[in-house]
Amino acid sequence: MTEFEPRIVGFVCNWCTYTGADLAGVSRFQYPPNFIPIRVMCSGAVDPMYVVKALIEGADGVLIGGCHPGDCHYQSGNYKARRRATVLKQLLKDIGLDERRVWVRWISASEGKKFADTVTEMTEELKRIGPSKLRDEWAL
Amino acid sequence: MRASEPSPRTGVMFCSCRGEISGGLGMEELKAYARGLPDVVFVGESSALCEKKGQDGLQKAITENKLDRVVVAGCTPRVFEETVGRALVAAGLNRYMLEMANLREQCVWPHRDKKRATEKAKLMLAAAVARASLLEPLHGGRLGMKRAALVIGGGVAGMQAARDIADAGNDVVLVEATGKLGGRTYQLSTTFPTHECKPDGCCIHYCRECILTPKIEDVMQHPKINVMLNSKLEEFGGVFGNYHAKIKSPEGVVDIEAGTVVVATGSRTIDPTKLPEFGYGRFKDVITFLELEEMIVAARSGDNQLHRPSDGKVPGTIDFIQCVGSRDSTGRGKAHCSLVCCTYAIGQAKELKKRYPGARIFVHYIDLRGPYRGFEEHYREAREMGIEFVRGRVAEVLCEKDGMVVVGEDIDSGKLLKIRSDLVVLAVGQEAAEGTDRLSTIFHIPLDTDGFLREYNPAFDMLRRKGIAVAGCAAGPKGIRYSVQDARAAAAALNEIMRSGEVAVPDVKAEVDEARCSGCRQCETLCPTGAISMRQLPDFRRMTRRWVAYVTPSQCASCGACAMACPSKAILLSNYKMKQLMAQIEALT
Repeated sequence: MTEFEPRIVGFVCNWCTYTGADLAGVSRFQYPPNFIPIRVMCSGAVDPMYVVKALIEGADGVLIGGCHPGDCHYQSGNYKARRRATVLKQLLKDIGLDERRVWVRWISASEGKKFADTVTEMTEELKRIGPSKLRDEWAL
Repeated sequence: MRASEPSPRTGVMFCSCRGEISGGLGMEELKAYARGLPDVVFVGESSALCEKKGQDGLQKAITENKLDRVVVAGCTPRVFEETVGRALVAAGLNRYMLEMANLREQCVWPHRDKKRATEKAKLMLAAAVARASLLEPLHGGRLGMKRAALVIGGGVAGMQAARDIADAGNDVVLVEATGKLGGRTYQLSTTFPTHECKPDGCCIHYCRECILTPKIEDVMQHPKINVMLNSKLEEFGGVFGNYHAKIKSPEGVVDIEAGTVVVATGSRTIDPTKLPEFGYGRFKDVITFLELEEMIVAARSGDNQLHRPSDGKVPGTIDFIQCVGSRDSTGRGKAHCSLVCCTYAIGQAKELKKRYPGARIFVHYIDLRGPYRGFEEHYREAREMGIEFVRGRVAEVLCEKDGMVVVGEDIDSGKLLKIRSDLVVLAVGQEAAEGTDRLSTIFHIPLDTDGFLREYNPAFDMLRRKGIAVAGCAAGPKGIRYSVQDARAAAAALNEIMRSGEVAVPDVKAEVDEARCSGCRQCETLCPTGAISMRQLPDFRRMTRRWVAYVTPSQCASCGACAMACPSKAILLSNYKMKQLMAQIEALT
């Protein structure tokens, strides 16, 4: 039996985490190819709908990546993301979903290593949790 | 999509990056996969799209295959979007009809396993193609702006900014709340360590006369500067490039139009009565450094002697207490270091020692901090003059029968000191000026943890999107020359913005669908640049008027916070619309 490979959708901000992911590549830091990025302008622009949509569509995990607190290109977008994610995780829990599938991490443009480590760590965590059954359960 | 619209013609162009990408991926497999994706009518490969040859090839492919949008599967859009975009423009397409799948930085390089990397590349391609089908051409542009600046605050920073902006040929309105220019600097008798001219203290002038008076006159007489004294900002509105303000002056309310703004409202000293152990307000001979400055100024124009407030006696023992209200984690004062107090306390101590070589002068400090040019020499000279530096906090100032006693520790000797003192000078720290929070709301400038207006990182877009700069102590305590430097930097940035007389409108910006907008105003409060305002539209169905959001295009920094928050999805960030992102998500999973 082949090992379960989780699929992670990442909403990464243009200024910090996306650039950090580029740096991870440039530095040849290796991380599992389970992570697929979607570039957004700011973590504060990540609609919880996107996260829910990704989970319903069958993603095993969602990573929201933004600038470090205080470093947001737009001053406060990452704080907005943080508040929203807190509520979203609570909601996910309340409706019986596993909130461990949603991660919010601050990764700056210079933290290629941190980006690679985060993806590695998240992949391992999701392997432990196992595949999301959401798509099958919610299939119409 | 409406049926009448022709379906998109997407071209997928792989860039092998001279083997860098093609070496780590199954290219033929990917190409076959790409051909099967929706709307794809052309799949090609180039060896290097960043070169002219590669771009020419892309241009040819667009023309020959009548492509209306392109997915480039190659390197990171962060660096090469502009370069590749040029080929699209050359072929007659809008630059934003391009989507890049970052196969190099985020697929080949971090994943050595060719098979799994190819699988990931397929997903990235699918997402890029799905998004490409929904791309829309974007257009920016330029708007006219008023080449005039409103400077709030007439201290050294405000004056310097006003002069630099006016010298560049722009009109300036300088608004000052008090009756004279000069601000805090005008209250100082001398400035340390930059301006000590007469060692014997016999110069009859105050330093402010030499330093400030010419500057004030330059500003007052400048043909491009309109100085409004005793005036206050009443109202502020408008958009970047065309702000309007109402200024309340003694002559009545005046309307001002300006393209840019400098906020140079300074700071205020912390009220020492919040720290009752030092006895300020209870003992007449406990004074702040500013009151000592007044005494020195009075001495110069009088009998050249310092008279202490209580009985007019010339003080024989003087204690300087540092960090009053600064570096205070108890919550009574402020947690930050006020930066300038060490420098001026040493300066004042030297001034007194020069006048009265027999006097005993103590400086009670926690750490001496003066990261300025000339501070070390300034400090060493003070020690050589016989000023006694005592490391340790002062516990309290007491009043006994025969006078005041300063009780404090001396860390170096480990003893508790009790010094009979004739005059105690408190080096009170600086805090945000009154009304700073109001300015923060008016100008959409966040406050930092100490309550000052937050400085803009010059690398960020915010200054360019708003044309509102902060200078001097309004953004935190600063010495005079650093305030001046700050003001010059702010003026230089604003001059650059105003030079062309036009404001750039970004290509990627938030747009409002007025039919959907319910006027709930959530976006308005979230916008970091204050680009969103409300305007009224006639509602013909209800025979009334209703409020809808309006985005000032030149002011939008394209973050998308508004789009996210909009409950009706009436406000969308172009190029990052919900349908575009949803299509990407669907393709990925």
